[in-house]
Amino acid sequence: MQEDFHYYATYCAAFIAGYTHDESLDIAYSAQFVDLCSRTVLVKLKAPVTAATTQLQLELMDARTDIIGIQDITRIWASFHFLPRDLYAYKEKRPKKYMNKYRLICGPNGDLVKKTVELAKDRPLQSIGIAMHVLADTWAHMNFAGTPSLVINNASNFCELIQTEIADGNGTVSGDETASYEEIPLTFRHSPSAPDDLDGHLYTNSLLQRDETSIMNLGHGRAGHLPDYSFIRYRYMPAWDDYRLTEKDNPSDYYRAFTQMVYAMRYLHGDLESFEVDRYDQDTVAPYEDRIRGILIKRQLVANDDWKAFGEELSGEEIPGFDLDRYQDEYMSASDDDRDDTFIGGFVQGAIAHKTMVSNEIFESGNKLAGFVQKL
Amino acid sequence: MNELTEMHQLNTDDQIALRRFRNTLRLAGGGYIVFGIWSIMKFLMMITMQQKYMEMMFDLSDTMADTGMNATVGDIIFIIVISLFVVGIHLWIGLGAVRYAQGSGGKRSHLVLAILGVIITIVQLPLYFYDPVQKIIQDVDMTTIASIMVDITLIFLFFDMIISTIQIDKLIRSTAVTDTDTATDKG
Amino acid sequence: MTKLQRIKEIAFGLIMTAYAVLLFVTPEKSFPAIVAVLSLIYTVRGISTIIYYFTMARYMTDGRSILYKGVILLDFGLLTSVLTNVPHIYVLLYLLIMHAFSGAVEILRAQEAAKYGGAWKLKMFHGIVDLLLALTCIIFIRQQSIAVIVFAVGLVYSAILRIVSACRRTKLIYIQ
Repeated sequence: MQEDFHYYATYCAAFIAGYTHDESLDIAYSAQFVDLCSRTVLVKLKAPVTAATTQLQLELMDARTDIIGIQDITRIWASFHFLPRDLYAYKEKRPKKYMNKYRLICGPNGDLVKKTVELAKDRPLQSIGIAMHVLADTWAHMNFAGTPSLVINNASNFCELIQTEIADGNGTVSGDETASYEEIPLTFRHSPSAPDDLDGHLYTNSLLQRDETSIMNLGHGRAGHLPDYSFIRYRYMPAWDDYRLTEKDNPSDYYRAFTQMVYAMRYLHGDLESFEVDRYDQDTVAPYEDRIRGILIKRQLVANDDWKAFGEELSGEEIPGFDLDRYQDEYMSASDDDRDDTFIGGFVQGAIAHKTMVSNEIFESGNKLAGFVQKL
Repeated sequence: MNELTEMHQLNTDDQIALRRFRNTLRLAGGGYIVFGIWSIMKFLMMITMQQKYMEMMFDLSDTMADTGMNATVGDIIFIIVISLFVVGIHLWIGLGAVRYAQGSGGKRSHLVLAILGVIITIVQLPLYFYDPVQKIIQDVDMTTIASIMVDITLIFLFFDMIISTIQIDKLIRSTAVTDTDTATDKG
Repeated sequence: MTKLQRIKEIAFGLIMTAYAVLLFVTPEKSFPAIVAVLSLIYTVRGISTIIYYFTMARYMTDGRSILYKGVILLDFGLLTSVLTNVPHIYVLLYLLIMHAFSGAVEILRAQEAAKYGGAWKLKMFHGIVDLLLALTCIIFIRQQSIAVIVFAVGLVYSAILRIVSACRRTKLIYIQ
């Protein structure tokens, strides 16, 4: 997902869930910061590099893909962007080496989502933001794994599904199951600097590298930015699914992500006693459903303005743009003893706690792709 | 989750099998072309960089000199003609298979040639070990083993082509399958 | 990394270094050894690709292409081992292309790192060294010993990277 959902939509979800404007901003900032808190930034801040929640393109280019490098990469990407759905998944006649990667496939409503949300309970708002980022990404990034793997992350046979008519005639913009769709083959090119051409159905993806551990085979690179566009519906064939086609309905998935975030944050706010997977707070979000779905299906590269406008209407307050530098001076000027009490200090602790939890779960399942974990 | 389109129809056993066989045939066709190009490159490397083959070339040149032909030019022409012929055969079979897999070519000439190809490859395998003309057992070194592996892979490739072509025909004719799998991304 | 893996990596790195030293000492006589090493590299790559096919890639769509790639690499590797008359210019061209390409990529990466405020000097140094090696191949294209020396330099560099990588600490995550 992009800044439009991780920052602005998370703000909206937090406010609807009952947080104040300032609390919602802190949650939203943390959710978006997960996509930017790289080793480079942490070194600049003199913060612990183990708190890294992402790797910049630059860092990935330099990353070694030996066993230690793979573990570093997997720890970050599987923890924060491709939370595994089922660490104990079973597939017939597959060797352990294959299953280790298969079990890292991301998807919503797995056990780890519950643990992620519960971990954030009674923790600072930064931890809530981290949890919301991870939860939201399980919807966008499903069917891909947060480890470099050709056999899992390769994909082909892409076509876009454009809604041609809405059967009920009420102007409902939801993904009505009686609507009909036109299939348009997608064209991919390998030009990271050129923006995707939505009208021409021309998108950028990563180069096919027939090397299992190439960085090009990390996550959803082979699908380009398609998983991160809320408006798009498409069909493709993942390399791991034995020639089955998969449909991805992003407007529907993103709406579920939103309602699940509201449900999770109501739990974290103390309004609900527990958090269970596969539950969505449709009732609380219902008054805003048409507005939200309208934003989600609008065909645009980035939906920042629409989400921002919606959020400001909700709270009546201005939502500042995301500023990476906002809390950096506070952290750098604090003494060693006081750093944990700063905003970034809180984020760092939350990130380390979450990464530790996920890495431990992966290790406990018998999978060493996220490295060795030792309990204190 | 709700289906947008009739996905359950696209993921029936027959549709999945059709997709699998089309992919296998396409890969076999492309693979056969690559093996053809590689066999020419290998041939050229052997005659230019391996002592015994270079000597054979010179011997050949002496024979051709007797007929009054320019040995070097004759050798080159011979090599070019053979190379083009070999690559041509591979392209014919390979592209035929690829086109059939994509559903854009009707003829199955690649099937007949693939059957011939598998028979010839199987029949010639023992020749790596035994020379029936001189009636001697051949020396088997690592390169021979590699060549045997290539030939075994080619046998599997031909079988892939044959079985995939037959299965694609069968599945398309079956009433349960409508060929709806038209999505192909370019790139 | 387990202890055994570390020992293997360090041992391999030391063997590579020793071999490179031998090449430096007798460059005129070592050319066939270069061809032998290249042959070994491609043979091993072919075998590992074929193993990868049988353990992993055969379960993915389009997996057969990995098998074809592995078989051709293996064939190429083993064929190179019996070639008796490889002109040194072919090896020099191979080294030239390899070093020129990786040098250009390193320099581009260094420029991008500098743009974003990351560390770029070491990357730039690596890129320049690679380009200089490529240039050496061009200037001394007639000299067989140059192919050996350039190859030996590459070998030493890879060996150092292996040893450094083996000595990196494995991260342990502690549950608090």
